[in-house]
Formats: sequence, structure tokens, C-alpha cells
Amino acid sequence: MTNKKRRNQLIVGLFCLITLLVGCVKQSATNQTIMLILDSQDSYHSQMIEEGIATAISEYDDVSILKRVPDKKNDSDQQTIYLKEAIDLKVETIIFSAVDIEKNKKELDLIYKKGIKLIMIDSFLSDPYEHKYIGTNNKEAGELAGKAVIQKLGKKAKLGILNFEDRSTSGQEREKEQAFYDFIDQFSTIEIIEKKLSWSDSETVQLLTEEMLDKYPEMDGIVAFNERTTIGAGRAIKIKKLQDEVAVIGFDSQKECIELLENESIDALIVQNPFAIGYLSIQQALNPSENKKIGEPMFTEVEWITKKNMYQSNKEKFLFPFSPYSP
Amino acid sequence: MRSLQVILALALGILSVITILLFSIFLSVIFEETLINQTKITTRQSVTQSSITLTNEIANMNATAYGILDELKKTALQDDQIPELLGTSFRLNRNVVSISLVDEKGKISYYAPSQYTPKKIETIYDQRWFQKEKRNEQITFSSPHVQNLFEKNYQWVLSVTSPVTIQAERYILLIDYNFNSLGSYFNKVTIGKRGYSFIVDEKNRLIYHPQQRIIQTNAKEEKLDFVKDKADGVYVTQDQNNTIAIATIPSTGWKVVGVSYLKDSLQEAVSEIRKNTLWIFLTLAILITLMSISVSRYIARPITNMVKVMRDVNDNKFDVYTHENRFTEIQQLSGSYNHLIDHVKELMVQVKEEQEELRKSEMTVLQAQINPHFLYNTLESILWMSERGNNQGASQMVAALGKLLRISLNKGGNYISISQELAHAQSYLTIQQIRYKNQFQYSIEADESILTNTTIKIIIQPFLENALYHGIERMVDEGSIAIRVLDKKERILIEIEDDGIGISPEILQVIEEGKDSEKGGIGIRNVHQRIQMYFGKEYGVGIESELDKGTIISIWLPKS
Repeated sequence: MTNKKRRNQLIVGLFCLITLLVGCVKQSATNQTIMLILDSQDSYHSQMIEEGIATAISEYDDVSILKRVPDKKNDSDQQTIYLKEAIDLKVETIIFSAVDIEKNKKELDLIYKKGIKLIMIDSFLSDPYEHKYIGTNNKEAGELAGKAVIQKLGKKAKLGILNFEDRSTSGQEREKEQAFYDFIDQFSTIEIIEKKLSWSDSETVQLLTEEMLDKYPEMDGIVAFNERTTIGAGRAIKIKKLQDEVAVIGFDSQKECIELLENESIDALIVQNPFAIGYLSIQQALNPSENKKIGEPMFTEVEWITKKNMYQSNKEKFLFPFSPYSP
Repeated sequence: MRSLQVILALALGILSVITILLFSIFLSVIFEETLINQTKITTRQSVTQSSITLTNEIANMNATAYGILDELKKTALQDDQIPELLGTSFRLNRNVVSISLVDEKGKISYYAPSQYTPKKIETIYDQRWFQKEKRNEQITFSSPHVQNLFEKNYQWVLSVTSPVTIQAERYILLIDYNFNSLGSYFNKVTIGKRGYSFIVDEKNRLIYHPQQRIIQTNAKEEKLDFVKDKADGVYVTQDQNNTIAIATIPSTGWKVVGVSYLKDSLQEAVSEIRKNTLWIFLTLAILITLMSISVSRYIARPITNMVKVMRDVNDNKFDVYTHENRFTEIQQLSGSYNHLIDHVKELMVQVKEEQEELRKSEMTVLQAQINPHFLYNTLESILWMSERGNNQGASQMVAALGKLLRISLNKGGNYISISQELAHAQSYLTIQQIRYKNQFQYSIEADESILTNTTIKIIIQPFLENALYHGIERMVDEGSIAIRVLDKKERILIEIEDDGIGISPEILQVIEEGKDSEKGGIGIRNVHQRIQMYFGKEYGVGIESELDKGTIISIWLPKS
């Protein structure tokens, strides 16, 4: 009798305990820390990425973000230090815009082993790891620049190329440039007569371009693969009033780029969507239910913008990012 | 086998838990319904509020436009006054980016503020957003677009246009409003935690969205298809994620759409409730456990007690009573049990007495049977006959005596067949006939069918003895005794009739009365009581007698 009573009480007690445990499930808050490692801070591109990230973060109230940007441009050694810091801090997610992915292989391997979520932006990592890639389709962007050249100059042209210095150039610009060459190679009549490299500011690029234009008066077009070189080339054309003689195909959509496009110093801009890159990277980090397949790169759009189409509904959205906080 | 208490406790516990569960499910369903309705109401209220604000905003724009139009129409207006007029209007309206007058070719003729530099534009009429107006002073609102009028100015604007005739010249008044300040109200609108509202035009194109940029960059999609062609009201999306309220602005046909996240508010409320219900549920569970245990104990206790008491009965202790009076049923049960115990005790005493009585009777029977006098007399008779050389008589008597004694003893058993009983009677009569020198005759008749019937032994002989000693011995003439065994359907009747001197009615009455008591004639009482003890009250011995005529004894027995 007493045995049975005890067993009975035990059953009821167990029942209570189970209820308690069931009630406790799903109670914990999801406070996430994300480390954001960028390649540089002062470019329009990275500013837009940061804006996209900030906008996405504002939709969540339990996320803290640690931003790390090397002081020097394209300092992959500093990025390595940041990656190690992220591992030490045991952050949940790293959003990484790599200067040179080859140099960080060891750390990325460790990150994968530690189970930290890694979202690569703008640099594609062809490895067996299940990292996410979000960014511009550099191949598409390079090809678009090629198409813009063909459309503007026809299949017979002499070109000058402007890009950052080879060794420290970030991977994505190299990729774009390579895609451009691959595209141009189809047309044997298109000649690249000069390649100028510069790692510094737009003023230097402007001077370099002016020099180049003086040296090669027969030059039909200039292709610039990033914001600074685009602005530098545009300014040189404007100063030298060569709008009708030389076509400039550039990248990115800083306000000065747009002004140069409107006064025809620049003929076409290949515009990327850095805001979406930033926004989507956070969305991928925090809301993986809306994910595409892991490992499959997620490309944001690239638009080919000319003076003619810049006020078209779908292009103006790209060119003039709407910001509710600007005046 | 489980104890009553365990079953009761389990049943009560399970029942209460099920009840609570059902009740909570019922409550949560009601709660969810209420919450959904609440969310719907909140969303609708917010949208109504927003639409009123927007209507006011548009009314202001209209008023501004009409104000300027009125000034422009004044006939006294000089051309050089126009820039000043536009400049004043510009300064008075802080959300205005620019005010311009566009001539028929689409070139900007006048503009404010004056510090802007107009672009060299062919015509504004082929700009995407521009809608050709039909008549004078009809105000048209454009969709949002990037202003393409002044150098280095790339603001998102909403254009309000109206044709106007100034001194016979046709112009278009173009007021560009800062799109951001128009929408700034909508940036602040929150419905619940993450809800928001946005504006679409009459063609279901997005006009303003708090997350305009995210949508423009295709990083997010708005449910525009859902809103399309829907009338004003509140809707819940198919996936049950969102509540969507729609309100139309009458002046422009724009729609304000509020989106709230049902799951957010549900989850929030549910987690809040869960925190509390956990404790409530725990407390309830503990209470239920304690209560069901104590209630089951309360109910089962009297029964358990009774079981304990009754267990003593198993050990043959009959001096145990219960006094449980918690429930009527238990009280009745307890009373019945006590009564039963009393009865059992009584019966036991009775059985004891009866056993005693029976033993006494058996003894008496034996004594009566092996009556020493009878034995001496018989043996003397045998002796006497032997001395006289009457060997045949002697051997006959010895045989009869042997038979008599064998049946009397019957190896200690009490039951014999009727034929044996008759043989016993005949042996007795044979002996007595020799002793009384044929002073009487006797006859035995029996229905063949009942000879094998069982009876208790020695029920006839005592009456034969009575008949001989009290009836026939005193007669002068030769007497006779008749024994008849009759089949009376369900019963058997044995009649012993003699034609002796009979019994006087007074003595007969005494005998009749003494049949059931200690007193009275030993013979009849002994047989009568033994028959009743073995076979029941409906059987027994009856006596009829008349003086000088004889006596009839009737013995009733059951058929076996």
C-alpha cells in the first residue's frame, strides 16, 4: 500500500518536472555579436555597405556589431589580426570583406572549424567550406564594362586602363579587370595601349590620366575599375575638354561620378549595389530562414548607367540611393 | 490488483489535469482570437490615423498650390514680380524643394530659390514622372522621382503640377516637395514591434515606404500584390504572418497600407503568459496532487479500516465490529456487517447447541436401541429356548438380534435406506413376537419405488416399542401392528398403526406439546427432533390416537 502510494507520488512529481522543463524551452534570448571586417573605410562603396548593415541592424534589437577597418588601405595583415580577435572573442558571425583572401586561409580554416558563421562580402572564396558569399558578380560587372566600350566605341578602339597598383589591389577589382579582358579578347581590333596603376587618390589619378592622354592622343577610351580612378579620369577629361574625343567607362556612383556623367565627361558607369550587399549580409547572418542554399554565392545587381537612362525609374533608384535621414 | 486509494488518486489527478489542459486550450484559443482582433484594430487605427495625416498633408499641398495660382492669376501681376512671389512661397513652405514655372516648350521660365542653377534641359515634358494635364488649375501629384531640374541637385521629390495661364501665356506651375519630409511621418509609424505603413498610388506602385531604400535595392519585397485591388479594410495574409490594413486617400486615390506582424505580438504575449502560466500550472499541479491524494485517502479510509477489521474475521475472531460513519453507504455497510457478525455469532451458538443436542439424541438412540433390558430379556429368552431345546426359535432370535444390532450400529453412519430401516423394524418385531409368544400380528407394506430412499436410522423401532409396551401388552386379545411406507409425491410417509388401547386425549396433548421441548416422551421427541434437524422443519412425526381403538404414528420424510 505505502509502496504504491509512493510510486503514485513519484509519477505525479515526475509529471510536474516534465511540465517545468517543457516550459523552460525556447526562453533564451538570442543576443548576437557580429564582427564586421572591411577592407577600407573611406570609399563610397564601403560607406554604402555600412549603411546597408546599419539599416538591417536597426530591424533587430538584440544584435551588437564590432567594426574593424585597417587604417592603411588594403592591409591584409591587419585583417588577419582582426580575424584572430574575432575568434578570441567568440563572436557568432563574421562579415568579412577580404583584401587578399589567399593570405587569410589559415584563419578562415580555423573559423570554419570553430563553427563561426562567416559571410564573405565582395570576395569569392572557392573552397570546400560552407561560407556564404554576398557581393557583386564581378564577372558580370567586368563584362558590362566591356559591352559599354563596344557600344560606345564600336569594335575598333584604342584603350587605356586605370586600376590600383597590382600587388595590393583587392581581389574584386582584379576579377572585374580580368572579366573585362576576357570579354575584350573576343574583339582583336580592340587594343589596349596603356595600363596605369595607382594606389593613391583621385588627384594623382587625374594627373596620371592627363599624362596618358598627352602621350597617346589617339586614345579612344579609358576604363577605370574603381571609384577613385573613375573620378580621376572624369576630371581629366573635363579639364582637357575631351568629352567628345575620349570615352570614359567607370565604376561606382559617388555624387561626383554622377555629375561627371551628366556633363558627359564620363560616358558610362557600371553601378553596383553595396547597400544591398550590406543589408543582405546582416539578413543572412541573423535570419537564415530566408536563405538561399549555403555555399551558393548571392549576387547583387549590377547596372550599366549612361546619361540617357540615368533618370529611368529602375536606374535612378540605383544611382541616387534613397536615404530617409538625408535632408 | 490496485488499491482503491491509488485508483482514486490517479483518476482524480488525471481528470483534473485533463480539465485544466482543456480549459487552457480553450482559453488560449480565445486569447489568440482576441489578440488577432486587437492587432487588426490597432493596425486599422494606425492606418486611419496615417491616412488622415496624409490627407491633411495633401490638402496643405493643394492649398499652397491654389494660393500661388491665385497670386499668379492676378491681372496686375508684372513679370518681374513673379520671382519674388515664388521666392516668398518657397520660404513659407519648408518642405518645398523648389517652385518653378515652366513654359509651353518645357523650359523653366521662373524658379525659386534663386541660388539654384537650372540644367540645360530640352523640355521637362518628356521626363518620366510628368503627366500631361487636361485643364487649367487641375492639380496633379507625380510619383516620387529624382529631381532633374537644377545642377548638382539630386533630391527625391514629389512634384505637384498645375497648368496656369498668366496674361494669356500658358505655363505649368511645378512645386517639388521634399519626398523625405512627406514620408517622415510614416517613418515614425510603428504598429506593434515591427509594423509599419507605406503608401501606394492608384496604380499600385509604391509611393513611399519607410524601408524605401531596401525595397529599391531589391533586398526586400513588399506585398504589393496582396494590396492590389483590395478595398479598404483589414486583412490577414495567407501565411498568417501579417495583418494588413488599407485606407484610401480620396483626393489622390493613394492607399495607405499598414502592415503589422501577427506572430510578433502573439509570440510576445505568449512568452509573457508562458512565464506566468508555468508557475500557475506548477502550483496547480502540486495542489491537484496533494488534493487528489488527500481526497482519495478520505474516501478510501473507512473502507480500508473495514478491510482491516474484516481481515481479523479471516483469523476466526468474531468479536470485531466497525463503527465507520463517514458516508451513509459506508455506515449502512458497517451496520450490515455488524449485524452479520452478530448473526454469525448467534448461529454459531445455535450450531453448537444443536450439535450437542444431536449428539445427545444419537446417544439416546443408541441407548434406546441397545436397551439393556431388551438385550437381557432377549438373551434370557434365547437361553430359555436353548434350555428347552427349542433350537429353531433360539437361532431365529439370534439371527434377528444380530441383524438388529448390525443395522443399529451401521458402522457409525447416520443414514440408511428405507429398506434397511424396514429390515431393522422387522428384526425387532421378530424378536418381540417370539418373546410375546405370538400375542400380536404385524404387517409391513412398502411402495417398491421408495425402498432405496435414504433416511436416518432408527425412526420406526421406537414407535414399535411404544405400541408393544403401552398399547398391545395391556390388551387381552391378540393385537396387530401395521407398517406402511407410502410414496406421497414429494414426500415419504411412514405410518405405524396399532390396534392397542390408545392414548387418552389429555396425554396425547401432553405428547404433542412435548414433541418440540425437552419434556415429553422420549421416543417421539427424539425421532421428531432428529428428523427436523437433519431434514428441516417441514418434516417430522405426527400422532393420532383414540382410546380402545389404537394409535397411528405418521413419519414424514423427504424424497432424496
